[in-house]
Amino acid sequence: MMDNVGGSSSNIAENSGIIREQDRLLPIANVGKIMKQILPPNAKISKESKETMQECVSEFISFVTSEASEKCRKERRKTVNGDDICWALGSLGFDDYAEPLRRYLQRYREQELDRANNPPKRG
Amino acid sequence: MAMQTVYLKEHEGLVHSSVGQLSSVTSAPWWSALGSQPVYGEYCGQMKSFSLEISNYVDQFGAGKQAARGVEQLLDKGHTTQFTIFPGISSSDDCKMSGDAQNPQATLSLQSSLAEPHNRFEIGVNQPMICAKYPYMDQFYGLFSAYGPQISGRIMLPINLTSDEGPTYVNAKQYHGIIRRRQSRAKAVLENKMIKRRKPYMHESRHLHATRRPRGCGGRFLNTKSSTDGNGKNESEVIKTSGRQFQSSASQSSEVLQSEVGMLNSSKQTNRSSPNISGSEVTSMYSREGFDGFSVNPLGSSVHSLADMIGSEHGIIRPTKWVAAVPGNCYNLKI
Repeated sequence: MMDNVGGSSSNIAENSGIIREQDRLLPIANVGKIMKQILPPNAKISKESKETMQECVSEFISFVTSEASEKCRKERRKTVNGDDICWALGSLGFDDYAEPLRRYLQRYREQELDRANNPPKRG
Repeated sequence: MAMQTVYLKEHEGLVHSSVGQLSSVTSAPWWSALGSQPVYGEYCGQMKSFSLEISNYVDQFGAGKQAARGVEQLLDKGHTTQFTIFPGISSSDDCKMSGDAQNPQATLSLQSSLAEPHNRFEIGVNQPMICAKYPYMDQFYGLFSAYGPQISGRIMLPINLTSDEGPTYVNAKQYHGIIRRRQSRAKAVLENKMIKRRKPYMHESRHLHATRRPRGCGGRFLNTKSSTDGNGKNESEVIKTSGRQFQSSASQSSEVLQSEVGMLNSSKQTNRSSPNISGSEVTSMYSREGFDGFSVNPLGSSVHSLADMIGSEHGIIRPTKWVAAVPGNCYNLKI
C-alpha cells in the first residue's frame, strides 16, 4: 500500500514551500534507461527527448493518482492502494493498461505473501 | 459481448461518459448492415433514448453554434444520464489492435493536458485509426445518424482554458481529470511553488568543481576512465547547449568521484559500504535524490581539495571552461 502523504520529504537543503524540480519530476537518468530498453543498442537519445518524456510521464502519474485520490476522498479513505490505481486507469479510458496492471498487482501480492511466510535467513 | 451499466456522478453534478469511440464516417452501408443483425435489438433501444437526449442538448445550443462547432457531443451541466459502456471484444487479435489504438489515445490525452500545439493535428490523425480498428462501432454510429447528430465520443474543453488556436477535444472519460489537473497546476503556480525553469545543475559545489577540471580537445574531461559503462553512456549523449553541457559535466564529475576517490560516498546502491554514512542513509539518499547523489556540506570541502589535487598533479590549471588548444595534451577519449 502507498500512504497518501501530503507533505514533501524532509531535507536540510529544502526551501520551505517550494516544489523542487527533483520532487516534481522523475529522475532523468532513470527515464533515459527505461527509454533505452526498447531501442536498438546503437541508438542514442537526445537530452531534449529525455526531458520531454520526463515531463510526460510525471504528468501522467499525477493524472492517474489524482483520479484515484478523488475516489478515495469520496469513500472517506486515506490510503490509495493498487486497486484504486487500476480502477482509475479503467475510469480514464486506459482499459488496456488496467488489466495487465491488475494481473501484475495480483502476482506482486502473492510474492509478498510468500516472502512473509518464508523470511530470508540472516547469518 | 459483456455489458456494463455505469452510473458516474461527480461532486459538481457534472457527468462525462461516452459509448466508446464512435467514428464519423458516412453511415449508409453500416446502417444497412446493422439492420440485418437482430442481436443488437436490446442495446439499440437504450441507445435510442441516448441519442434522443443528445438531440435535446443540440436544440439548446441552436443551429448557429452547432454549425460553427461542427457535429460533436455536447453535454450541459446538471444533466445526469445513465450510460451503457461496452469494454470491447476480448479476443487476442482485438486486444492487440486495441492496444495499438490506445497508445495514441494516451499520447493525445497527455498532450491535451500539457497544452501541446499539435493537438488538432493529432485528433485528425487518430480518428481514421480508431475507425479502422473498431469496425463494430460503425454499426452503432449508423444507428445514431438516424436519430440525431454524429457522436465522436469527445467533449470540448472550456474555451477560456484552451489556447488561441481554437477549441481542444478530449476523451470524455478524461475531461474531468484534465480540468482537475489544470486547477492543481494553476494553484501551484499561484502559490509560487512551482519552479518552471529547469536548473542546469543541482549542486553549486559540484558545478564549480566541474568547471575547474582540465579538459581535452572537444571539451571532454581529461583522465576519465572510458572503460566505465556509465561514463561511456553519459559521453555518448548528444549535448546541444552550454547549460546542458554543465549538467552533463556535473554527472560526469559525480561518476569520476565515485570511481577515483574511494573516500567519498557513492549514491549507487552497489557501493553501500562507506566509512562516513551508514547503509540505510545511503539507501535513503539514493531514493530521495536519485542519480545526482547527496548534498552534504562537508563534501564541498572534499571536492575542493580534490580539485586542488588534480590541479597540482597536472601542473596546469586552466581558467577557461572550454577547449584549450594545447598541442601536447590534445587527444580524444575512446569509448
